[in-house]
Amino acid sequence: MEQIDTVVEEPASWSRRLERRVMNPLIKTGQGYWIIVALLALVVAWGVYAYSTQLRDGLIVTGMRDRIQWGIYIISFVFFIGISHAGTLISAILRVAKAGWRTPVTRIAEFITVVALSIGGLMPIIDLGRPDRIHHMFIFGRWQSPILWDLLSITTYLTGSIIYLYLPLIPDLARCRDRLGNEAHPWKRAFYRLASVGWQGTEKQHKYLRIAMGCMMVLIIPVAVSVHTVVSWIFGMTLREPWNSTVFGAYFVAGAIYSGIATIIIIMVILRRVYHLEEYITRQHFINLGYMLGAFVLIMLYFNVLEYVTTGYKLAGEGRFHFQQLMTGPFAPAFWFYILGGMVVPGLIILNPGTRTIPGLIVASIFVDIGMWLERFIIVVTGLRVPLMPYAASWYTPTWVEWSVMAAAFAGFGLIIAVFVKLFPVISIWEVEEHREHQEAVRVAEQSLQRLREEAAVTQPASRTAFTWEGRHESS
Amino acid sequence: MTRYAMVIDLDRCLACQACVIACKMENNVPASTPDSFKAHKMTFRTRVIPLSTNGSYPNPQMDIRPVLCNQCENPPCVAACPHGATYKREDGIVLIDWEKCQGDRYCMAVCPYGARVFIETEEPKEYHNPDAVPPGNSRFVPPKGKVDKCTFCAHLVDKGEDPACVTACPADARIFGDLDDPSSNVSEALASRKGSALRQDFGTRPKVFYIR
Repeated sequence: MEQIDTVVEEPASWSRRLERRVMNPLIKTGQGYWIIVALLALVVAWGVYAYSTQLRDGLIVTGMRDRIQWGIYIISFVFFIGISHAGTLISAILRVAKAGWRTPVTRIAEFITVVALSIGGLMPIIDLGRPDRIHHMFIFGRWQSPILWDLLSITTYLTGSIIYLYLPLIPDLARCRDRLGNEAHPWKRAFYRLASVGWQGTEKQHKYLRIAMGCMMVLIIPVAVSVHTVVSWIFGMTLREPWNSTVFGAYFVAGAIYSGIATIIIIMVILRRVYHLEEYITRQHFINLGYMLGAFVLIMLYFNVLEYVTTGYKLAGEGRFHFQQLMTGPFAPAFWFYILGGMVVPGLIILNPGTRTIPGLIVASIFVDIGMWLERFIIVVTGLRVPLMPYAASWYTPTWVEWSVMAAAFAGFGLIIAVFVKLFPVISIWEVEEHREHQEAVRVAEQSLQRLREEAAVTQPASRTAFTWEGRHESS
Repeated sequence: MTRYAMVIDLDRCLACQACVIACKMENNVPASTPDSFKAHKMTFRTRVIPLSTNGSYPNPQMDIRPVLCNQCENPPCVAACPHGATYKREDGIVLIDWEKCQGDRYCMAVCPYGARVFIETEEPKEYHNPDAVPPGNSRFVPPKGKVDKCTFCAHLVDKGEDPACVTACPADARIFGDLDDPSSNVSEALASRKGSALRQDFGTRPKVFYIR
């Protein structure tokens, strides 16, 4: 696949250009940046105010009641934990698979993982009636409760992703330390000096970094899968009919990766535009991500068929109520938007070569993220709404407090990313360089091979032996 | 071993709601007001609900059922609580430790009977029945941000008395006693007539039985 321009250019000057391009945002900050940060901080402050009213008056200020006792907070929790999955998938799986095109994408993906996990992990604490007692989970924790499994897996995943984000950052941080010099703020220089942990780029250091990254990329994949499986078990381990499904874990993991890829596309488009990274994050990167999104459209559709055809065919017990409330009942608009807008429309956009462009993918990704948020809404609220006893079905109406906290969560997500791009290079410089060197080597090898072939044709016109650039001889 | 259970005689129950009022008085359950109704709040530990309505005039029938926490022998809420705030006593009564509860409401999600309610906000500290509140015992002030449920009036049971709803029932429809004692009134009531319990298909082994 063709990612990096093939214009012959001296590696040194190419590297310098990449360095300047990626490192410039670290030392120069425009006015637009501060406006965006101020806006985001304003939304976060509003959310904090909303939460303070909840702390003062209790959960009565939310729409959550005795029958439907979970709402926007738990929905956002599942949504953000979901987004966090794409980072791992893209970066770890593509690293394991040695897919070269991943290099400019991984840093952003890994960072989305860490930020989304931190925001997502905050949501259940906001949901608590007594957040001052969160430490009871550690003091009196019981392993019989799925909530504790969640606590364990999410903290493991967060720790793992921070390490996994940090390891490939070290050589880049060292480069910031060495190259930025007096251009950077003194405390920033101190930060780079501290964070690059004495990286000198020696052979030995490279070897150990490779080993550490190799271990982490293999370890992080099962951890990531386990996280969303366990999140689904919060629901799946109850006696509620709509959640009583063995495919729930896989359904959640697939949905998580699906919404995560969409979020990466959106964030990448923004960063690429703002920091003029068009040379490194090319159209092909988006197309490749689009293909992954397209594959997950099919997987998600398949899971929905699994879920709803089995329920809808039997229509037994509470399943009948659940099926009706989804298909034709009060949740029908959300459900059909999720199916059509969240999967079918993005699928068609990706399928059609005419719309398989960056603007098309942005539209598809926004649709996917809205659809997946609605999917989580449907799962949480419909599951609690199905009455297991002859009660009248209740209803859930989120209040301004919940919407404000959710808006603050999204704004906080943006805000942390905005801070990140000022501290760390958004593209893994050394990996992109390495990939480029590799490509250069391939190009040079192919050129000399071509020369060899031509020479062979001149001296031995009847020869049927072909050379490949790897030096093996293959009979044609 | 003691295993406290309740038997409700549906032939006797007249749906007078005396048990609901008595429970509120005894346990300082938050008041049910038009506001709380509008806000979809369940301010009950025990309720009398209609299961089904059948027939038409002149022979209408309504199947009513007093419901409360079933004090399951295999309580899903106890299993689900992440930090043991809900626990089962030796005598089978499922209680909530309000000093521990952090209000994550997972127990409410797993309870198939909808027997648990959440106290979202601080109630005015005004006791319906000041006599029921042991001096200095904060357990009986409805606290903010915690889950509430029927306790079988454990504080009365410990004193050897019947739960408040049993005492208040004018028709003796609610019978309380030890399931393990063959001569107790619950064992006798269950032995003489056919008993059933709610949603036994969940395997929670509820200990509130209905006879008719």
